[in-house]
Amino acid sequence: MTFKQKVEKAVREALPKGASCTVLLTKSGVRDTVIVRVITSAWKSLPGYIRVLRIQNRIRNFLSPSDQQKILRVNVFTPDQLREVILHGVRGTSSSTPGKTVSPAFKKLAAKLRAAQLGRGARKKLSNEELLKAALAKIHKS
Amino acid sequence: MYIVGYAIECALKWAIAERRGQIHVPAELEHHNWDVLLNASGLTNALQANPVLNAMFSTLADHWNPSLRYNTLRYPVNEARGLYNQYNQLFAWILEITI
Repeated sequence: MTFKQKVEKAVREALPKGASCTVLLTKSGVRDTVIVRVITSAWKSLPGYIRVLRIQNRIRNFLSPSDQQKILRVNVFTPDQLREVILHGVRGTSSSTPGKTVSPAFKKLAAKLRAAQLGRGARKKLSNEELLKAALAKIHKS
Repeated sequence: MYIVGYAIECALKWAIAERRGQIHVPAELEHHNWDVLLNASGLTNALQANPVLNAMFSTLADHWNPSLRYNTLRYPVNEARGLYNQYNQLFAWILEITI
């Protein structure tokens, strides 16, 4: 089982039965560690850090110490939170700041989603919005 | 939210300067990546030993970036208070552990 598969298994076991999720691993920029970002509708009424704690605890119990060391941190998003951050970013509110700005971490996430989508046989380069619609549709099926 | 996030960033940069016995943060750390700043401050292990604060750090590190200054009206009051409390706890912890 690869590291990513182990992480995905730990995350799925932490979530309520039947809850779907997408797990993204991105390089943290600190040594060779990664950031685990989980996109799920589960526990959406709870504060973000409580959702993180639940996944974090499961990962701590499930992964070996050496695998745990590869993870810098874990974060959990609802599909709406992810959509807000990636699609809308932070909108400029004055004429000097038009358009959208998105943090580098989420540009990487969007690129990863795009790569995953292209890997599934998409023929054209999809916009972030199209990618997220596809990803969110999958998540919302649950 | 924007200002309190900068308070965290400044606290981390202060912790780095303290650790290195310097007045200024090195040029290579003049950025806004909290993960890298936390690592350079030497506080990573201490934070990971505190799961609740570690979880707060993770959500806030993804939540905050300098562009938040364009975003001041988007949060409902309760959500803003909750986030502010988390930023505040993290800020207090960095100060407490660095002094």
